[in-house]
Amino acid sequence: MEKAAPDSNDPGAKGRESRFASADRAARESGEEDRMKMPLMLAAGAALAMSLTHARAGEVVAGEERYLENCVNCHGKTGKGMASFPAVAGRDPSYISERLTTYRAKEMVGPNSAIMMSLAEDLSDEDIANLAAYIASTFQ
Amino acid sequence: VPPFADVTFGKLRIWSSEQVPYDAVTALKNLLTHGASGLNVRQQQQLRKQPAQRNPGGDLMNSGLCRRGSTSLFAMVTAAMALGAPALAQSGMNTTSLSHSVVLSDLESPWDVAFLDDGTMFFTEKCKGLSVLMPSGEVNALLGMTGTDGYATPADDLFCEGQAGMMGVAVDPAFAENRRIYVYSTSNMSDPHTNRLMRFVVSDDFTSVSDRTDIVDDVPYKMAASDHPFGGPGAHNGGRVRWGPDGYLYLTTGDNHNPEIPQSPTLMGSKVLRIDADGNAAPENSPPEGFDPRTYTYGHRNVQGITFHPENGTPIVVEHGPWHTDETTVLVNGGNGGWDPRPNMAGRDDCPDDYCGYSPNQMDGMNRFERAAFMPMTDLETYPDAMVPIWENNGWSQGSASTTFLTGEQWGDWDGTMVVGLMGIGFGGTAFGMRIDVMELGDDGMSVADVTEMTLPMEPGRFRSLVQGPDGSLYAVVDEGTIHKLTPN
Repeated sequence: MEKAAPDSNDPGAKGRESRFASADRAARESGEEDRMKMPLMLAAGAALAMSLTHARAGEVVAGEERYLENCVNCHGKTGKGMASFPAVAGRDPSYISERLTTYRAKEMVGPNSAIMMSLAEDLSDEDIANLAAYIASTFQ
Repeated sequence: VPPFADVTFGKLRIWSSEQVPYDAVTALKNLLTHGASGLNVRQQQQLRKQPAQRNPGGDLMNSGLCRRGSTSLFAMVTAAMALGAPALAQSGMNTTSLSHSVVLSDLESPWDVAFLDDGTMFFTEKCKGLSVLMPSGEVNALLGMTGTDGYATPADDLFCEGQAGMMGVAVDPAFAENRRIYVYSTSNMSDPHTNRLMRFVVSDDFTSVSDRTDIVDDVPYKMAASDHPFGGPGAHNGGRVRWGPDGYLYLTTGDNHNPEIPQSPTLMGSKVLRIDADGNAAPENSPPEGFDPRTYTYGHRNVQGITFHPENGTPIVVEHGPWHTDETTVLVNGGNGGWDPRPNMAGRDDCPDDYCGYSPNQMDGMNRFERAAFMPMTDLETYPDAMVPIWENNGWSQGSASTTFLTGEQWGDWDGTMVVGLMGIGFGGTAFGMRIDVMELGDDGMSVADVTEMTLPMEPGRFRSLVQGPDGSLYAVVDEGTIHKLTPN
C-alpha cells in the first residue's frame, strides 16, 4: 500500500502539516533549528580550535625551547627577572614581539639593549612569535 | 701552538689554544673523565638532544658545546682519547661528589651571605635589605630599604637602581663580643648619591639592628645613564665586603662607567679599600704618593669577588671583564690593576661618552682578543708594573663575580682550591658560561695550575656569591632567588 502524500484536502494531512509547520515555526522561534545545526558547527569549531590549539601549543613548545636557550639565564624560570634584568612576566604577546623586533633591528630601548640586540639578532619572525606565545601564556 | 692534551701524574691536562672555548675545554675534561655524568645538568640536556654517537668525543662535538674552534677541539678530543682518557676515571679530577639542598628560595636578587659559627646566616637582597636565617629556620627581616615593609629597622635612604642596591655583608670576627655587622649599599643620603659601607649592631635576639655608623660614605655612584652597554644609572659598584686574616676589612668597588675613576688617587671607585672597623685606613697600606690612604689596590674595573689564600693570607680578587677577559688577580699592596678606560690615550681616540670601557664596537660582537688589544683589562704597556692576572678565563667575559677557598678534608682533592662563580653573559656569541670553576693554584699561590668546572648537582645559575659555611659546605647565592648548599659526600 502506497503511503498517501499529504494533501491539502486531507484534513488529517493538513492537520499534520499544520502541526509540522507549527513545530517548524516554534523551532525557528525557539532557535531549535540552530541547535539542530549545532553539532555540525561544534564539530567544525572543535576541529578549528584543535587546529589552533595545536598550532598554539606548537608555538608555546617552540617558544619554551628558545626561552630556555636564550632568555632563562637573565629573566629566570618564572620570568620575574633578576639583578638588573627586568621581568617579562605579565607582558602580553604584542609587547614581547615588539620589543624583540626592535632589538633585532638594532634599535636602542634601554640600558641592556646591547645584550638583547646580540641575542635577538638571529631570531626569525617565527622565533619571536613563539617566544611571545610562550612568555605570555606561561608567566602571568 | 696547536691544542693538545696530556696525562701527567694521573691527571688530564688540556693545553687549550685561544681558539678553544673554555666551556668546551672543561666539558671535554669532565666528559672524558666521567662520561656524560661528568657534565653539568645543562650540558647533559644538550647531549640528550643529540642522537646517539659512537664515542664521547663525538657526543661532545655534536652537543652544541663546541660551536667555536671545533676543528682544534676535535684534534684535542682525538689526542686525549688516544692518550687513554678512560683510565682517568681514577685520576681524582672532579671526583668530588656533591649533594645539594636549597637553603632559601623565592628571594629577590640575593647578593651575599655571612655566617656565624652556629650557622646563623645573614643575607642581603638587592632591593629589599638585610635579613637573617636563624638555625631554627626562622627568618628575621632586619634592615629594610626604601619601599619595603616588614623590616624591623627601616633605612629609607638605601635604594636600588640597575646594578646598585644592597650588596655585600660581613660579620665582625669579634661578633660574639660586639655584635657588629657590616653592610654595603647604595644611599641617597648625599647628593650625588654614593655607596656606603655601614656598621650596625645586631640585637641580642637577632630581630633588629641599631647604631648605624657609615664607616665609608664616599664610594661613587653612577647618577645618570650613558651611551654604553648596561649604561643605566647605578652601574659598576663593586660590592664585596670581607674581613681579611690580617684583621682588616676589605671593600671592593667599581668604576661607574666613569673614565677618571680607575686611576684617580682620590675617587674611591675601582679600588680595593683596606680599613679598620671604624673606616680608618690600615696603616700598612702603601698606595702611590697622593692616593687616599684607604687604598690597598686601584685601577680595577668592577671587583665583586675577594678571598684570601688559606695559607699565606694574600687577597685574591675576581672581576668582570668588558666583553672580554674576566680576571683573577693576586693583589699586591699598593698595586695597580691596570684598567684605564680614558679616551685619547693608549692608542685610542674618542669613545662614546668619553668612556672606552666597551670599545671598540661596543654594541656588537667581535673577536675578544682584538678587543683586549684595544682596551686591555690590564694595560701593561701604559702601566708596566701593573698586577698581572693569574687567570683570564681564556679571554672570555662571562661575569666572574665571587670567589672563596674550599678548605677541610671533606673536600678531598679540592681541599685548598679556589672556587670562582660565574654569572654568565652570552653577548656576541660568547657562551653564557654560568658555572663554578675550581682553580688549583700553583705551590707559590701566585699562579693557576689547573681549572676544572664543578659538576653541579643542580641547574647552574647566575652565581653572585660563594661562601663556605661553618659546616664546611659551600653556599652558592644565585641571582634568580635561591641560596644553595653544596656538601661534599
